Amino acid sequence: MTPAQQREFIRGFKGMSHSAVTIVTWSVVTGIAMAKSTLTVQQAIAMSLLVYAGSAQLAALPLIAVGAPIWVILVTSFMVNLRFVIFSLGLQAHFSYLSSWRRVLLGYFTTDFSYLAHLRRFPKPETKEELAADPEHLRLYSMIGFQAANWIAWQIASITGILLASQIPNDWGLEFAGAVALVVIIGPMLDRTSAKWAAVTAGAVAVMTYGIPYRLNIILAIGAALFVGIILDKSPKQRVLS
Amino acid sequence: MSNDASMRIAYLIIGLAAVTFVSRSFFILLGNRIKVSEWVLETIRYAPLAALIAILAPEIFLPLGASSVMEFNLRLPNIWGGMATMIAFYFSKRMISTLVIGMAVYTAARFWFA
Repeated sequence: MTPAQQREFIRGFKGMSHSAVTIVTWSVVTGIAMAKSTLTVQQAIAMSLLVYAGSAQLAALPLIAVGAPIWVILVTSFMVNLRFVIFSLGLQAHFSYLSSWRRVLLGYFTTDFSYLAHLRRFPKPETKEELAADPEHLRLYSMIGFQAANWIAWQIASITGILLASQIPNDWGLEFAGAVALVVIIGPMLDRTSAKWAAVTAGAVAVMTYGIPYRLNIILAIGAALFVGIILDKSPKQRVLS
Repeated sequence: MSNDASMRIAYLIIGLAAVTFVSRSFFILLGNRIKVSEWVLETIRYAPLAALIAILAPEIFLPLGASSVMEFNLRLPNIWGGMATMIAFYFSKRMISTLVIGMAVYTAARFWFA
């Protein structure tokens, strides 16, 4: 790294400290939920280090516990991660000059926190002239700083949560922390009438069809909720109200 | 845990890591090559919400290992803990206070109905 790149990296790294409390809280709770699920301590640590996507992990735990087929768990976690697909659209123009494998790595480490931090600092991608005048790619190093701080804080807190929870007896009911965390993730998503009805639909269908094989109730519920969300979104009345 | 079951978890963790790679780098990698319509983007906005609720709702309203909706009953501690969690989040909008209230009511209900 050149001195300028190092400066940007450190600036990004320190910039993440605004989100430190939130990251650590989420991460400890996710760690506790993993350790108190059906996973062993080693499996929980491997999941934390490799999967590195808190809400997808929290969503996978109850499905693993009831023995859902692997493909249902993977499809569901992809659905949960679709917000990252939308984020990746926002970042595309910022980093289109990178080689393919660097883009994949950059994408992998871009969480909600680093995405928002980057776009807050650089709302617009560099123009051709700006890019030509910036051979050191300083914005990339700021982003890597955000990502490094985020990754380190998340993993330390997550593994701490796993190890702490593994020392606590199972009959304390700590596994319910995962359900609480899901409520806190879902809450802010219910910001429109159409989203609320989509949520009611997903919940009702998932519970009512719970007995069908292979946990396909999850897939049915997602399909029904998408349908309801889109129908309500398109209705003219909704447009006037929102 | 049996050998088979732990292999299953190993494959699953690798699969989930692949999902993280694919979803987070999707358009960073393919942005120039494919165009998506507004309609598709509108639709996938609802997907994370739908998936999370589809997992959470049975966890709150049915007993662990239930085989159908017929097993719903009001003596389940998760129902009371879940309701308290939702109310706590509605009023506080904060993780910590929601967690404390939700866990406290869940624990109280577990002893009450034990």
